[in-house]
Amino acid sequence: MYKIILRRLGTAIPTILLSTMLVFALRYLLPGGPVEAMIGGSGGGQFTHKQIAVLKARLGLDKPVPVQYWHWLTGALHGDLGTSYYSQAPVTTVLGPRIAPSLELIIGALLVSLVVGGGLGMLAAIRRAHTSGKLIQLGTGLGLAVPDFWLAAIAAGFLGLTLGIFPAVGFTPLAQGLPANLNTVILPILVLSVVTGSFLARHVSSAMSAVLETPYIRTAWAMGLPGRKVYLICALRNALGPVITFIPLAFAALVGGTVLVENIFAIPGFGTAIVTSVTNEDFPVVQGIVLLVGVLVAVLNLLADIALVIIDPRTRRAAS
Amino acid sequence: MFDSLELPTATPERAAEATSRIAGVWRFVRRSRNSDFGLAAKIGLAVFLLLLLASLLAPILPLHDPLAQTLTLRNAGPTAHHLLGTDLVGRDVLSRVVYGCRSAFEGVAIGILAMLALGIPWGLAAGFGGTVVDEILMRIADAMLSFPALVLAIGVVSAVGPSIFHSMVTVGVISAPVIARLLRSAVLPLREAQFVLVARSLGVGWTRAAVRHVLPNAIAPVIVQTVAAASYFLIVEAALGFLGLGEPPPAASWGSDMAAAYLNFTANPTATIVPGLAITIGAWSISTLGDGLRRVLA
Repeated sequence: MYKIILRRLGTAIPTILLSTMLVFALRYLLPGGPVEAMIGGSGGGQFTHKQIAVLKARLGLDKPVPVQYWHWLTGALHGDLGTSYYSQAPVTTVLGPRIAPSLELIIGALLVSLVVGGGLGMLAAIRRAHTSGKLIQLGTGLGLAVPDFWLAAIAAGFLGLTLGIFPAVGFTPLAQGLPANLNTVILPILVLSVVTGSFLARHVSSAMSAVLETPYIRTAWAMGLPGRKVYLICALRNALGPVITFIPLAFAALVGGTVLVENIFAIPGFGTAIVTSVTNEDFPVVQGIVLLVGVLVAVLNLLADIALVIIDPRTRRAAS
Repeated sequence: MFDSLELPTATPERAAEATSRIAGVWRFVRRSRNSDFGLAAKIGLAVFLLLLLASLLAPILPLHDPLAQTLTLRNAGPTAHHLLGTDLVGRDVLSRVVYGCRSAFEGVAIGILAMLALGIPWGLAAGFGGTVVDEILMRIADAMLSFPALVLAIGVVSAVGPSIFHSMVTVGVISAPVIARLLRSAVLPLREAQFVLVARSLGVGWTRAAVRHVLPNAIAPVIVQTVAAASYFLIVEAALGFLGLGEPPPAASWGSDMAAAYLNFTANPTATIVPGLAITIGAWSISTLGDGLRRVLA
C-alpha cells in the first residue's frame, strides 16, 4: 500500500510543477510582454527604451525564460507572488484576507452537497424503480443544468430585495459571531450546493445502483439483514469511491461557482478579487489566484487518490 | 501493386455506395428508436433542435430589433406587443433572448472546435506514441485538469483582453485533456486489434491507421463527452458574459443581459428570469441528449 502511495506522490510532483509552468506561461499572453503591461495604459509612451531596459533588468526579465521561471517559482514558494499593479501592495497581502470568506463558502457548500446530494443519490438508487426515484433523477438533471449565478441573482433579488428575509448583499466575518455570519452566507452556500449536490447525487446513485445489483447484496437480503444495514453498511461503503473522487472535482467546480456567486452577493473573497483585478488590468493578482486554485485542486486530487487506496483494497490490486 | 491505386472519382457505383451509407445511418437511428435512447433524450433533442433553429432563423422571425431601445417603455411587464416585456433601456426581452441563443451557440461551437482540435490528436498521440510519450502527455493532461475552466479563462482574458473567442478557446483547450484521456483509453486496446494489423501489413502507415482505422472505432465515448461538454460550455459562455468578459454590451447575450437586469430585480423580475431560464432549458436539453447518446453508444 505504501508503495502505491509513494508512487502516486512521485507522479504528483511533476503534475504540480507542470501546472505552475502553465500559470507562469500566462504572462507571455500579455500583449507586448509583462513590462509593457505594467507601464502601459496610463502612458507607456513616456518611457524611453533605456528605462524599459532598466525595469526589465530590475524585474529579472532580461534573463532566459527557464531562469525567470525558477525565480518566479522559488519566489512563490517563499510567499512572493509579485506586486499588484493596481495597489502596489504584494499580491499575498492583497489575497490574504480574501481566502477565508471563499473557503467558508466552498466548504459549506461541499458539506451541504455531501449530506443532501449524497442522501438524495442513495434514495434515488434505492427507489430507482419507483416514481420517487425517477423524480429525484429528473430533479438532479435540472439541478445540473441550472446556472448557479442565475439562482444567486434570483435568490438575492427575490429573498433579499423583494421579501427582505436575507441580506441581499454583504458579508459579516465569522469573527463577529456565528449567527450574523450565517445570515450572510446561508443563501450563497445553498445556491452553490445545487449544482454540486446534483452532481454528487448522480454519481452516488449510479454507483449505488450498480452495487445493489451485486450478488453479495442479494445474499445480505437473503440472510434477513434489515434494510438500513444492507443500504448503509453493505452498499454505501462500497459506493464510497465516487464520493471521494467527487470531492476534488466538486472543489474545482465550486471555485468557478464562487467567483460568480461572490460577485452577486458582494462577498469579499477571491472571486470578487479576480473580477475586479481583471477590470483593473491587475495581472499579477489574477495570476496569483489562478496559481493558488490550481495547486490547491492538484493537492486535493492527490489526497483523494491516497484516500481511495486506503479505503478500497480493490484499487491496490489494480495498481500493482 | 499499390501504384495502380487510383484517386477516388465520382462514379455511379460510388454514388450508390454513399447512398447506402446514408441508409445505414438511418437504419441505425431507426433501430435505436426503440432502444435505450429514452423519452427524456428525445425531448432534449427536439428542444435542442428548436433552439438551434431559432438561433439560425432569428433575423427572419417576426421579432423586434434586439438593439432598438424604447426609452419611454423601460422595465415594462409582458404585454401583447412585447410578450416578455422590456429591459431597463426598453429593449424587447423576447427578441434579445432569441438573439442571445446565437451568441450562446457560437460560444459553444468555438469551445467544442478548440476542444476536439486539440483533444483528438492528443489522445491518438498518447495511445500510439509508446510509453514515454504517453506518460508525458498524460502528465500534462493531469496538470491542466487541476484548473477550473472558468478561473483559467478569466486568467487568459485578463492577459489578452475580454473577448468571447479567446475565453471560449481557453475553455475548449482546458477541457481537451478529458477528450484526450477518453480517446487514449479507447485507442490502447484497438491498437493491437487484428484489423489494424491487417491494415499495417498492407502498407498503411501509423498515422493513417490511427486516423482512418482506429479513430472511427474509438470515437463513441468522445461523442458522448463532447455533448456533455457542450451543455457545460453553454453555462460557461453565459457565466463569462455575466462577469462582463464576453460579448461587449450592446450585443444580445444571455449572461450579460442577466447581469444588466438583476440589479432591477424588484422592478422587473422577467428580464432576469427569462435569460436564465433559456440557459437552463438549453443546458438541460443538451445534457439529456447526451445521456441518451451514452445509453445508445456506450
